[in-house]
Amino acid sequence: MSNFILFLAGVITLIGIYALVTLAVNMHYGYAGLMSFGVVGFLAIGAYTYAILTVGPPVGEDKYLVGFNLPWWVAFIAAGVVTTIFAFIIGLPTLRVEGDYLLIVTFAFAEVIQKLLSNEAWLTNGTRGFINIHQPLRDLIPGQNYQIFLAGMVVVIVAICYWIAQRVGVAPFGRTLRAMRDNELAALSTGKDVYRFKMQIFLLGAAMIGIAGAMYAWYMTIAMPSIFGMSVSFAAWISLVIGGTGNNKGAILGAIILLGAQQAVKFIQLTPALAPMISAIQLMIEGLVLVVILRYSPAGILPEQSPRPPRLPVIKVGKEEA
Amino acid sequence: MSVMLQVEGVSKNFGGLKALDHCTLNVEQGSITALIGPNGSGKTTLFNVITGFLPASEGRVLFDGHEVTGLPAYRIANLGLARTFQVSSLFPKLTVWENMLVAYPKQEGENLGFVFTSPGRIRAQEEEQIARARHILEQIGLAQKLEEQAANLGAPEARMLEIGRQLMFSPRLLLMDEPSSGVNPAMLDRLASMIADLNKKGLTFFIIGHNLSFIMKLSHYMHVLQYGKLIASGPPQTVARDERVIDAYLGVHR
Repeated sequence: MSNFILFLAGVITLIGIYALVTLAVNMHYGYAGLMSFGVVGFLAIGAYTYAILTVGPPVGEDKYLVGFNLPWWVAFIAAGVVTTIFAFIIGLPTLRVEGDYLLIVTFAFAEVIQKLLSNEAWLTNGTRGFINIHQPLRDLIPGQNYQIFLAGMVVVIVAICYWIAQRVGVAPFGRTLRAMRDNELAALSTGKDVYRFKMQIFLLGAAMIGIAGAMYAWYMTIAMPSIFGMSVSFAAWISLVIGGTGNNKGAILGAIILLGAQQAVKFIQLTPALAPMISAIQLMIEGLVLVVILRYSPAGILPEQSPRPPRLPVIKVGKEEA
Repeated sequence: MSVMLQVEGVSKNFGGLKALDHCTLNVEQGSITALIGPNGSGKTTLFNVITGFLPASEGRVLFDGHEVTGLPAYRIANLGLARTFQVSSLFPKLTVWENMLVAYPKQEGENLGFVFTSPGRIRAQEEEQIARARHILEQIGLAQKLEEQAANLGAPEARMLEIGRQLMFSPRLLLMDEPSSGVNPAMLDRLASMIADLNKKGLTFFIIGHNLSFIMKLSHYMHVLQYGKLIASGPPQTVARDERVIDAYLGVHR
């Protein structure tokens, strides 16, 4: 039983991390129409920033030059900040061009980041990466209970980010994003500085992915180039399409469904020989789910919804004297 | 009356094609000025150059005496120069009320900081603006469709909503590209009286028109384009009798 709870805590942690990434993709694509496939690149930057800032000085065969040994919360915040800076540099030229170019550039960006992580060993320790990454408050909570604590911590952070995303989404800011996504020329004709709006939401989303990256480092306790492949980007995008583009709740739901299904497959206990087949079937099932959703509910399970209109101002009527 | 919009020697080349050829014209403040001409004469191109959607190849545009040539489209709009498009240009996934409220200028809620620090101020501004939006929607006959998605509107309704949205923007000069297209005759009368009304309240119009009877009745002044050149200007009655204009529309009779 306690094994099951631990497994569940792990699943919740992982789902929470992916839910946050999907939430960010929804802010980019669902709200602002930005086709950003650089998701995993930002995630890697977040995770590595956290790892590099918390790790101790190099020992043995380590190739990195400095370990900063900073407290976890400094590294956690830095993960968001550094990712935002990278997003700014990428957004500067690419957000000015339309549509597919951003997709291509961000795709390339994620690939380049993965290569950089392998090759710039002085900073990233090369293909060996980092192991035993410092987990927050690890010393205070002994043993297996820590997994449950970590799950709770991730859920709280994701909940805060969801609240932020929701707040931004229903505000006039979110409305203007959806407007320029629908019709950029009309948005310009109503005086919207489209580039500014794109940049702001691009940075906000990237910051969230950076934070998710730090949490991914907590969960995995390792960071190496091979775990930051394109499949992470695709998982977030598939989650969003399943859940519903333009709907924050949909983004969370999509991540729960996709990651939940992926983890549930692990319950199928089979001989080691059959394991590769199961993982192949997993991809087939993901594809099938996607096709079925797109066929019967193309806007996702929870489609985009407009907020209610603000109520009319109350007209104060003076009390009539009898 | 003073001049609100000045177009000075504007040319626009698309490769070897001269879509606009040294156009010079004015729009007087408080007027309803029309721009007519046969298909392909460069009317929409001129609008695109004025509003910054296309760069001019030559010449300059002045709004209120300030040069706006080369400014980005959104900044020209923010000076108080709004436009509507030839094909109604809405935000299809947004509801009618959202389409309206997107457009009002100086939105507190577009500032990411204020979204978290001053929700009260944002709410107050939104409530004020929804009242304005409702008032306009009543005039254009869409008050009942507040929560309808714009994508579900018919062509005449879409046209009216686009105009309504640009009115939310509180412009001082409204450029309308073929406002009569897609509008049925009953709506057309309503549109004409609405334009006349707004004009009396001080809004200046510059309107491209294909529907000549509509535009003749409405406008105070007319400019006629042919092959990118201005061939006539003047009050509607004068322009209608101009030989070159009749030739341009009917072809030269020899």
